[in-house]
Parts: sequence; structure tokens; C-alpha cells
Amino acid sequence: MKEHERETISDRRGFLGKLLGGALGLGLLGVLGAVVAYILPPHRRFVAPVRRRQRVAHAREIPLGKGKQVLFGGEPVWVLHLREGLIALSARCTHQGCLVQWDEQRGTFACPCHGGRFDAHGNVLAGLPTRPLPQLRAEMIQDEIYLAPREDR
Amino acid sequence: MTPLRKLQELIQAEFRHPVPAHVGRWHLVGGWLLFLVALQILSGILLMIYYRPSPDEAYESVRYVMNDVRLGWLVRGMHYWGAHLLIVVLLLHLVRVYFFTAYRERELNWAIGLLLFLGVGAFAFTGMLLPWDQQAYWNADAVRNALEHVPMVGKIILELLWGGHELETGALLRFYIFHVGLLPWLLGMLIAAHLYLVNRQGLYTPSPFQGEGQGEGQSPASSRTYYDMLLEGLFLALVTFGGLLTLAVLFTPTLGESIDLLRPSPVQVSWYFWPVVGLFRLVSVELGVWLVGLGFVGLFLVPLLRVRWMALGLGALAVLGVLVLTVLGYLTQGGPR
Repeated sequence: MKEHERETISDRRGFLGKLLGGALGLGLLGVLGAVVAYILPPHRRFVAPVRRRQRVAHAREIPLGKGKQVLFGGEPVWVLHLREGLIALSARCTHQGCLVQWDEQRGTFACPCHGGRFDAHGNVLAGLPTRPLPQLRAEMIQDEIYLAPREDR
Repeated sequence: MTPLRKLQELIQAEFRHPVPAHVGRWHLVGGWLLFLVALQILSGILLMIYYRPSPDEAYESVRYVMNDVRLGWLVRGMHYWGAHLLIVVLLLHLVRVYFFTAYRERELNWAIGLLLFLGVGAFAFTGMLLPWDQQAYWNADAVRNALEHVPMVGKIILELLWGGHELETGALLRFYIFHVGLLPWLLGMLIAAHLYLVNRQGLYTPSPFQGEGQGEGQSPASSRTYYDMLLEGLFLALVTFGGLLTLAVLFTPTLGESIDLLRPSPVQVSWYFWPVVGLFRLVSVELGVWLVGLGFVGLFLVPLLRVRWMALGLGALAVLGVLVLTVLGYLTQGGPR
């Protein structure tokens, strides 16, 4: 191979190497820029969802003496309409978290998993549960039933 | 001489030794895995900036990353597709080491590799719950129900990972801590031990090459040097990064509906859990869990198989079995819980 041919190949290799290095450098800069853009806080700040008072049913859906299972903050809750007023209780059995069912005839809650029973106020009547069903605040405003966490009181 | 050129020459001098003849492109898979692990760590750290591991905020925070954070969808997409590719490459690495019988005289490193495999499985499992959407919740709930049927071990895992029977209270935080706090350290230490042993014991030399090299148990040198291998690895890493970017852009992972506790979803898991789903459809959950456990114990004992054809035959059978279970799992995963 002649000298000038060797030099040409060497020049080409050098040029391709620089081109590749430059492209890689630019790519790396792009990635770094993207990471910085990601880390900088966005225009809209994160707002954590607040568990406020929430409408769960209309009064006619839960007539006197009846109960209805509703969702509050994604959690199943029983709302009872008794003579003394509205009662809202978590539908999760305090034993192992199964969903309790309202037994209208007996006026009690029954857990289908291990036979736990609770009265209409969530107190344990029988079975393996040791803690009452957690209560929520229930109120009727213009024929609409609203629930709120108890700590709101 | 520019500093870059100096660095290049330094690396070239360090890696100028020729690689043994039996070392081919397959041997890049281990390095490929390392690159993917690094990518997962980096994208994971970026996701941690905005993620909130509490049942009230987790779903909203992921939605925030997807909709409000600049390029948040891309970072999440890279993490998501990176996890899928990591498992594909890990399986390739496992199959490669097995069918090359490269575990011979490297029993400890084979065992460490299997622990790494289990660790990556634990990563995938704990990561599955973190978006805290409907699918993630009910998938984890199905696993919880399955674990409750497993004598002894099931209860212990439930207590450790779930913090009891309820998924809502402590489980999300625990899954998160395992995913970002405990498993990375565990995996990091195992990877360090794995690499240390690879370096100390050297690459396995298949029998046709043994004794032909300059030293005992070495194969003859090839025309490739370790520097060539390094360049090939870098090229592979670049292509992988580009591929993941493309996947994240074209198939951006979506976030499912928020959790509805009154409407259980059928189990829909990622493809790498299909064999387990298939097995559970075929036999009872209790038996399935024991079979998976026994399968892993069997893998740990593989180096005891001294007859090559027997190991290869068993391996082929196992791969076939896993493939059948994968298809079965895919076909039945939407079925009754």
C-alpha cells in the first residue's frame, strides 16, 4: 500500500472516530438534559387527595330499616338507616379483612369467612374478631347522604 | 495527545490481551445484564423523586409522573420495559450457562446466580403492586390468598411482606421498602460476589478446548482482544438504550383504573409470571408452591449432575415444561380467581 493511501485511510478512520465520539457526546448530553428536565419540579404541584366529606347515596336509596354498601375513599362501607339515625361502619371484618354482610332479619352483621358477628353499631357479638367495626361519620344533607372520616369531628 | 486519546490508549493497553477461542458473543450477556441493572437503578431513583408510597397517594403520584412531570412517562416507560428486558436477558444468561455446562467447578457462583434470579423475581413482584391501581391490587390480593393456603412458609411470608392479612394498611409501604430499600442492597452484594468469583475462577473452558492453550485448563487464544469485547459490549448497550427508548415512546405503559374494592379484577400478570399461573391452574396452590420450591432446589443441585447428556436432557425437558406452563398460564390467567 502506498504512503498516501495509508494516510487517507488513517484520515478517514480519524474522521469517523470523531464523528462517532461527537454523536455519542451529543446523545449523552441529551440524556443529561432530559434527566435535569425531569428532576426540575413541574408547573402543577402534586396535591395529595384529601379524604373529605363525600356524597355516597340519595336518601331514597336507603329507606328506614335498610342498609346499603357504598364506597368511601375506595373502601367498602355499610350505611344503615335506623330509628336512631344513620350509622356508617367499615365493611371489613376486623379479624381478617373479609367483607361483612348486613343481616336485616337479625339486625346484625355476619362475616362469611369465619362466622364473626357484629351488632348494628359494629360491636363484636360472636366469633373470632376482637375489635369493633370502625365507624365513620354519616349525615343527611337535603336528602343526600354524606360520609366523612371520624377524625373530622 | 488529547486526554480522550490518552484514556483510549490506557483502556486499549489494559484490555489488549486476546480472549480465549471459546469465548464468543454469548459471553456478552453477563455484561448486558449489568448494564440493564444499572439502567433500572437509575430510572428507579428518578421515579422515587415523585412516588408516594401510601395508599392514599400512590396512585395519584404515579398519575402525576405520567401526566405532569416533564418526560415522566418516558422515565416510567424505560423502567417498565427495562424490567421486561432484564428478565429476558437474565433467562438467556441462565440458559446459556446451563447449556454450556458453565456451572462446572463453579458451584458456589451458580448458586449465587440462582439467588440473583430469585432476587430479580422478588423485584418484579414487589414492583408490580407499586402503581396501586385496580390490577396491581387484585393481583397482589390473589397472591395473598394463594399464600394463605401454603402451610408454614405462607404465613411467614404474609407477615413479613404484607405485615399481616390486610393489603391496605402496611403492605404498600412494605412492598416499597423491599423494592427500593432492601432488595437493591441484597442484589448489589450478590452481584459483587458473582463478579468476584467470575474474576477469581475465570471463564469456564469447555472440554474440547481444555489443554490446548498455554496453561492448564485454558483454551487457545483467538484474534479478538478484550478491548474488542468491550467495544461490542458498548455497542450492545447503546442499541439496548435506543431500543428501550423506542419501546417507551411507542408502547408507553398505561396506568389502570383506581382501586375498586367492590369489583375484584381477574388476575392479569406479566408474561414472566405466566408459568406460575399455569402451574396453579394445573395443580392445587399448595402443591404448586411446593413444586416451584422443589424446582429451585433442583436447580441449585444441578452441578451435582456429572453426566453432560443427562444435564442437557433434563434442561431441555425443564425448558419445554416451562414453555407449556407459560402457554397454559397465558390462556387461563383471566379465568376465575
